[in-house]
Amino acid sequence: MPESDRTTADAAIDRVVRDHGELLDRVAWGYVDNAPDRDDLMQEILTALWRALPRFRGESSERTFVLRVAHNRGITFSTRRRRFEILPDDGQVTDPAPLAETRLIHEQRRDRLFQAIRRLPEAQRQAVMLRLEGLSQREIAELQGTTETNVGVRLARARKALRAQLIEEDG
Amino acid sequence: MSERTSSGDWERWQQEWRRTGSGVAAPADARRYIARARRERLVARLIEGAVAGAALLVTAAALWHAANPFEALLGLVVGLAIGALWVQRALIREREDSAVAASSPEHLALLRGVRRQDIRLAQFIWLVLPLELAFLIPWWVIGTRVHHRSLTDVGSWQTVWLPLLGMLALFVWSVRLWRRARAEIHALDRLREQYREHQE
Repeated sequence: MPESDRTTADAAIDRVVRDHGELLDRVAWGYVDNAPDRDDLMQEILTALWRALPRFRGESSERTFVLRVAHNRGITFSTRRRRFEILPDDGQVTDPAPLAETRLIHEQRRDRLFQAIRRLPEAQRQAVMLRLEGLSQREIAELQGTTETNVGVRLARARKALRAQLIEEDG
Repeated sequence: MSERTSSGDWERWQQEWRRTGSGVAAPADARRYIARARRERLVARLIEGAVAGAALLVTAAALWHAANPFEALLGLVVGLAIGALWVQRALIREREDSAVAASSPEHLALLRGVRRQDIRLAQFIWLVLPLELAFLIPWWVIGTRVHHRSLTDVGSWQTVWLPLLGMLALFVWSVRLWRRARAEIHALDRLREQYREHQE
């Protein structure tokens, strides 16, 4: 990569990390269930973005572009390392400090949601994560290379599966 | 389920979902990740370059001593094939990078194509290695006789054993590449099937 492109890419990645860092973290946790894999996937996502950002010409919003790259890297990663162990009940965050009860409940709920999402078939999982990030059905359809109707079907099936899993675990 | 329940589910899950996300911590962390990935890629390229360079050197040395035009032609073919392997490997890497911002089904299709290329690369290696052996064995046999070398001489190590070890390593690597590519194609086909589901 030429030096000028490298400087542009460095500046762009700094901005993306500031603006979309949390989103990238959520996408990564949607594909992996442990911290070392999360770090490896994050490295792949950021490197892919670093390479791709200088070629971004504003065909979509930057957020959609970032999501597209992150999900594609997530898919690639999960084809290579498919191992979704069931998380322990205390969740994926190892925090030695005692947690307040409400925070613990929130974290347990969140971890159960992530586990349930990770168990969905790939296309449904991606549609759900994009829906939760606030993308419209049209934007999801574009990203998944399909129609809005198909996205609607995927989301409806995913919701049913998620409800079943979450209720089963609650009960 | 009613539309209202559906919207309630999504809102609740969205709240829980958005509570997650510690971010990448800081741009400095991102730079560190990227620098590490670039180092890893550079090391992989250097190793590939060194292997290809060494293979070309051995072939060139043998070509220098070719006994007849047929051997010279065989050596030339082997040399060109090694060069082609190296270039093909670089192209596969570039192609994989270019698909990263495509839609997911396009991305999967392109990845499948890339893995197919990996399989062809492995098969090409299996073609080149016997050719290289066919070319090098007469050079080794005649060279050992002409220079009165034993099998443990430094010269034998440089011209026979190290290239043989390199070829063996390349063969093992190609088998692993072939197996990994086949496994990934299987996984990619399963994923593509999921993306094709519900297509009208």
